[in-house]
Amino acid sequence: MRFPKPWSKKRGSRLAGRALAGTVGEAAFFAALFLTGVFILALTLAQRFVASDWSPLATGLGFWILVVLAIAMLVVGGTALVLGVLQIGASSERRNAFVRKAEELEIIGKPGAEFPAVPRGVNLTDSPGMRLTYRLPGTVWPGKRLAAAAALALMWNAVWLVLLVVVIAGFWSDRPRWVLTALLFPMAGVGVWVLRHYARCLRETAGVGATIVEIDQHPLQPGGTYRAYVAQLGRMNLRRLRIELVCEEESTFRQGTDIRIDRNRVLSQIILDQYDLTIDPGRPWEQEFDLTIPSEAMHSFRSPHNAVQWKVIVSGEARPWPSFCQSFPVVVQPTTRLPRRSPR
Amino acid sequence: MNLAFCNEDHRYEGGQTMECRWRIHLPAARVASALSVDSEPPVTEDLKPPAIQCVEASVMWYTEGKGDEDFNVHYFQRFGPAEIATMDWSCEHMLKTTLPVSPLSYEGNLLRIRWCVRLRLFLSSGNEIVAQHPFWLTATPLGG
Repeated sequence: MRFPKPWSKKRGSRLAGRALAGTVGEAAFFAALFLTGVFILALTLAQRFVASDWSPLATGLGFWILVVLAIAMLVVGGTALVLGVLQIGASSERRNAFVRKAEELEIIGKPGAEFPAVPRGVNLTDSPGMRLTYRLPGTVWPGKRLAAAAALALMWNAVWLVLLVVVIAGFWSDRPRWVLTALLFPMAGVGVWVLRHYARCLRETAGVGATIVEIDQHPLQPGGTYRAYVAQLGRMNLRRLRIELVCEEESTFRQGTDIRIDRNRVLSQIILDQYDLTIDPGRPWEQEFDLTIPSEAMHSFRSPHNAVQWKVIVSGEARPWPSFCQSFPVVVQPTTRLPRRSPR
Repeated sequence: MNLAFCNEDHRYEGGQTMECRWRIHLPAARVASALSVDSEPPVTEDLKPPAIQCVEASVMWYTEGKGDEDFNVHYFQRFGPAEIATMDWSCEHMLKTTLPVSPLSYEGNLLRIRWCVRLRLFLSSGNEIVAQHPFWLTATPLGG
């Protein structure tokens, strides 16, 4: 074990993993801050409006000071929690790129004039790779489930704290609310359960590290062979890690008043299938391999209701974390006598 | 209407120039809406030149399959009443265009991409006659 040396020169590599304990601790702190803010605000309002002789917050601070303090805790705790959730699973470069390109609906881009109905994929090549020329952006943000769990945990416990204040106020003013008091116990159980669920989601999401996919050329062409590199970060044991090259048809159609999307895999080429891997923060799993596009394959295609999409899919069955699946779109252009133009 | 492609197998590579000759035969009478896209009952009428208001010739691709149809016109030419009046119906007309490199013709499960030359006749009665001649747009062979 190496002890940190604050006086030494900062060292490291671009593959440095995220500190799991730090992420979880930070989220727990800001969740506690948010809930404390809810509690203080509810208590202060109850003290002011329920009974004049009721003073559980005998702090000597005025009403407005307590209200401002509670609102500040709510805002700081809530904002930091939301930002923390957003930071999980997305690098700062990617977030920055998303902010700059917020007006673009799709990461794969719109068709160009040179290849009509073929996505240009300019957003796929704006990030240089560490090993190979381009680092491909993924399309799946792993924090959706975490955000939902955080929202549920905070809202449920905020409501519970407000009800607790109402019950305390009732006892204080000699008008106890027995039914509400009895209801608080099962509600507290649910509150603990949703908090534990949130903590579990947080650990899982933070534990499954980023997936990096790089490629030496882009866009691709049918019949071409390209060098690709995949790295999986995090701290986990993987039962299985699979890398696939997938070509998928996508059709959008109306069914009654609904708009439905149907997908069909027309090609699924397993590039790599490995079992029983151990990944440490300091030792990510990485592999370089060849990616061959079949010569008879269809190129990428996009029209308003139909598409043919190519992507590299990295999926893993992990323990103790849940399975993950990251998708990295690539653009396959038709073969042509036109000179190939590097997007960079 | 008949239409002849310059390639007998109706296959063209992306970027290749396509030439096709089309001609409208004017019989005394014809079931006008037999080839019509709309579903109105068949109408029999004289197809003399005054009966034809205008003719549109287009080279286009469209999608077929489970999804809603998409299409895009690559080449479009319209012969209005003035051109129709001076048009020699006994002669063939030439349509020439350089095809794009994409999208290529595709036969998938959910999706098919078709290329075609479409001739649309607008009749003075308000009916339309559409004739569609499919062809294949294929990739340029590697090293070709």
